[in-house]
Amino acid sequence: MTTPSTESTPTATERVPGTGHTEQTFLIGEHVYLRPIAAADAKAATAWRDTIFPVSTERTEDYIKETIDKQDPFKEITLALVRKADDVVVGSIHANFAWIAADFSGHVDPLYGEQGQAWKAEGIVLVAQWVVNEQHAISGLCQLPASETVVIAGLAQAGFREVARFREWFIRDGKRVDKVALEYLNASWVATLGDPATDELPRAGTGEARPVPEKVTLESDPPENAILVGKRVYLRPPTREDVEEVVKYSRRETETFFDIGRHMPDIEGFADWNETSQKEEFPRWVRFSACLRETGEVIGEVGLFDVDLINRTAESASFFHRPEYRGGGYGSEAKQLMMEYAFDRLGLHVIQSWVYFPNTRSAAALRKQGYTEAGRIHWRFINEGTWENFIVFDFLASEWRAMPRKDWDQAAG
Amino acid sequence: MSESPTPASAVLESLGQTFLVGEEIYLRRIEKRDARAVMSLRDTVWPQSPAVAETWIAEGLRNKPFGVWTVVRKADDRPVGSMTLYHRNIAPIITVHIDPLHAAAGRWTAEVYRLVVPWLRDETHTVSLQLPIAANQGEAIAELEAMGCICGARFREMLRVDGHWVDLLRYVALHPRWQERLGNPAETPIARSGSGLPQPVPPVGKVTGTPPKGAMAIGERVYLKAFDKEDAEALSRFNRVETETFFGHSRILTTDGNKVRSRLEEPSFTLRDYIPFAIRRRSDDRTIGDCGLEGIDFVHQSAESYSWFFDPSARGQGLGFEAKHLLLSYAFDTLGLHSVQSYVLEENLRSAAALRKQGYTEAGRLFWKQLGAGGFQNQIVFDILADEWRALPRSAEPTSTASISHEGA
Repeated sequence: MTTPSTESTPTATERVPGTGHTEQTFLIGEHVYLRPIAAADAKAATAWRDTIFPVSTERTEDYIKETIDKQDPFKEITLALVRKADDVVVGSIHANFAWIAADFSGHVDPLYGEQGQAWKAEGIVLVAQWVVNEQHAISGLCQLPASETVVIAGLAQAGFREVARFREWFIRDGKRVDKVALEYLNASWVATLGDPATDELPRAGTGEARPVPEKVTLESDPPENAILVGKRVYLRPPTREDVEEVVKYSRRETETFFDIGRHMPDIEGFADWNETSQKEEFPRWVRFSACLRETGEVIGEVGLFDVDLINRTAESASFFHRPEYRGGGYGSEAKQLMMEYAFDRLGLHVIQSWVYFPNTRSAAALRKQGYTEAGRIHWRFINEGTWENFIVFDFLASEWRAMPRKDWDQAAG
Repeated sequence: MSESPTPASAVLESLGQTFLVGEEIYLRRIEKRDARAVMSLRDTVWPQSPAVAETWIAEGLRNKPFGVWTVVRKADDRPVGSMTLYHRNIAPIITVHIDPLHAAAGRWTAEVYRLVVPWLRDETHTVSLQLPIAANQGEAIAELEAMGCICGARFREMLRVDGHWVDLLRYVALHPRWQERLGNPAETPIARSGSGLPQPVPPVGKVTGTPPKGAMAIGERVYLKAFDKEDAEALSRFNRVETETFFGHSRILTTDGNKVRSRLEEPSFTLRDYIPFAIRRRSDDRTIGDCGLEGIDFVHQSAESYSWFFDPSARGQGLGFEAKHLLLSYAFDTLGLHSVQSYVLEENLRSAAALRKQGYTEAGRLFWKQLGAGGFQNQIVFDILADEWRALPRSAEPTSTASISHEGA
C-alpha cells in the first residue's frame, strides 16, 4: 500500500500488553476498561458472548458484522470488557438506551469466578455512569441472578439500589436463583423531581386471589383452531382479521389509563408482528386471540413475551379491546387458560408481569389471578409532567398449581 | 377527479370513533385501501400509482421510526390528506399534509392540529411536541397560537411552494406540567460567545502536481474527500480519546464497522439525501474529522450541514472554518442548493459561535429537544442562503502555494 496510513496507534499484535487503556480517555476503571468490539475479538468469543451454546470464531465474525456493527451507538452498544493488566478480553458489557431509560447487562467468562464478578461490576458501573450521568438517561436498570453476590455488592456500593426481586428466575449451576433488579437513578433528576421510591402506589381491589376455574371437558367439537378452551372463552392463534378488529376497536376506545392515552395500532405492522413470531421454530413471543365460545367473537388477546426455554420464564401480557367484556371475568378466564399453557404445556417455571402505576385495574386483576408483587421499577416512561413507575409481579408454576380449583359462577366478576 | 357527493353507500366510519374526530375530518391509521388516494395522502411532487402505494403501505412503512395517519373527510369517508408522527425521544415531530387541490385544505389542516395537539400533549403526555409548519398556512398557525403553542424558530426560504420561497416555522407544544416544574424555556435568554460577526471566506487551495487522492474540494490547509473505510477507522479511534462532552451527544463509542456503515451505506452516483465527506489535513494527510449534508431535498433545494472535528489536536486553528466553506461551496455552487440549515445544542456555545463566524444567521430555538441533567436541552438553529454566502467578503488569494503530492495516489 502506497497511500499514507492514518494508523495512529499500534495494532493489537504490536501493542505492549497492559497499555491498551492508554488509547482512550474514558470508560477506564481500576482493573478493567471498556472499548468497542473489533473484528479481532471474534477469537475471544467464549469470553464475551453471553450464550450457553458453543459459538465458532467464524459465526462470531458474522455476528460482529451483522449485529454489533449495526447497533446505533446513540441507542445501544456492546463493549468489550478488557483487563487493564494485559489487555485480555474477559467479557462484555451491554447498554440499551433506546428511549429515556437505560438497561445494562454484562457477561464475564464464568471460569474467572468471583474475580470475574468484580470485573463485571466494575464494567457495569462504568457504563452506567457514562449513560446516566453523561448521556442523561433518567434511570438505568440491571437485572442479575441473586447468586452473583459480588456483582450485586459492587453495584450497591456505586449507588445502585435493589428495587425488585423475581423469585426463582434463573437456573445457575443446576439451582434456581432469584432475579434481582437494581436501579441507578439519575441524581440530577432526583434533585428536580424527588426520590420516586417515596411515590405511593395506588391500589384497587381486595388483593385476594380467587380460585382457578375448573378445567373444561368438551362434550361437543372444539371451536375451530382452538388451543385451549374454557367455559366461556377459548384461545386460538391470532389472524389478520383479528388484528383488523382490534384496530377497529382501538378507534372506539374510551379509557385512557391502560397505556397513557389512547393509541391506534397500525394493521400492517401489527399483522406482520404476529406472523413473524408464528413462523419461528422457538418463538420468543406467543400470542393468542381470546374468543367467546358462544359466538366466536374475538374479545381480546393474551400473550407471553420473552419466552426463555432455558430458564423457563416469560412475561405475560393481555389486552381486552371489547369494553362490554371488561370486568365480567372473561379476561381472567382467558388469562387462566394462558397460565395452563405457560405452566402445563410449555413447562415454564415462573412468569412476570409489569404494570404502570396508574393502571390500578390491571394490577388488581393480576392479584386476583394469583400473582405476587415482586417490587417496583422507577422512572421508565413519561406521564403527566413526570417520570412514571412500574409495579412488577411474579407467579410461580407451583403457586398456580396449588391454587384451589372451582367452577366459576357465570355472574361473578 | 371530481369532488364526489356523499355516496348512498357511505360507511360513515367515524361514527363510533371516540377520539381524533373533528367537525369535518377525522384521523385513523393508514391502511392498504388508502392506496387509491395516494396523491392526496403523500406530500410529494412525484406521481405514484395506487399499486406502488399499496406496497409502500403494506411493506414500506414497516418498522419505521414514524407512523402515518390518514386524514379522512367525515361526510363521505374520503381520504384527503395525512399526518405523520415521527418518534423522537421526548420530542416527537408531527407534519400534516392536506391535498392542496381541496379548497378547504387550509381549514382541514387547522382541524388536524386541533385534534392532534391536545391528544398528544394532554392525553399521551408528550413532553415537547415539535410542529414544523410552512409560514403560508395561516389558518393552522392561528390554531396553533390559540392552543398555546410557541413559535421558536423561522427558517427562511426553506420551502418552494407554487413558485415562491416560503419560510418554515418551528412551533412547539410544551406539556403544561413540565412547564410548571421547569419554567418556560422561551423566556430564558440565549447565551452567546464570540463576536457573532462573519469572517471572510478563505480562498480555494491551490495544487501543483498531483492532488491528494480522492480530493473533491481543496482549501489551503484541509481538503474534503469521499468518506472511506480508512477515514472511518481513524474517526473511531478519535472517539475513544474524546474529552469534551458538550457537543451534543456526550461521548460515544463506535466500532470501525458501524462508523463505516453509517457513513457509507448510501448508494453512489445518484441524487440522495445524505452526502458525507472526510476532512483531511493537507500537511500530514491525516483524517481529522468529517462534514457533510443531510436531509438534502433537491425539490426545495435545502439541506442540513454538519461537521465534527474528531481529532482534538485539530480544533481551534480555523481548520473547521476552512472545511465548512468548502462544504458550503459544494452545497451552493455544485449542488445548487438555495438554503442550508444547522442545528446546535444551546449549551454548545463554541459550535454556535463558529456558525456565526461562517456567515450563518440565527433562526431561533427548538425547545426541549432532548434529555439534559435534571431538565431538557434546547437546540439553537441557524440558516444561510446561497445569496448570502455568495455575498460574504472573500479573503485575498494566498501569496504562496505549497505543493503536495502523494506517490501512487
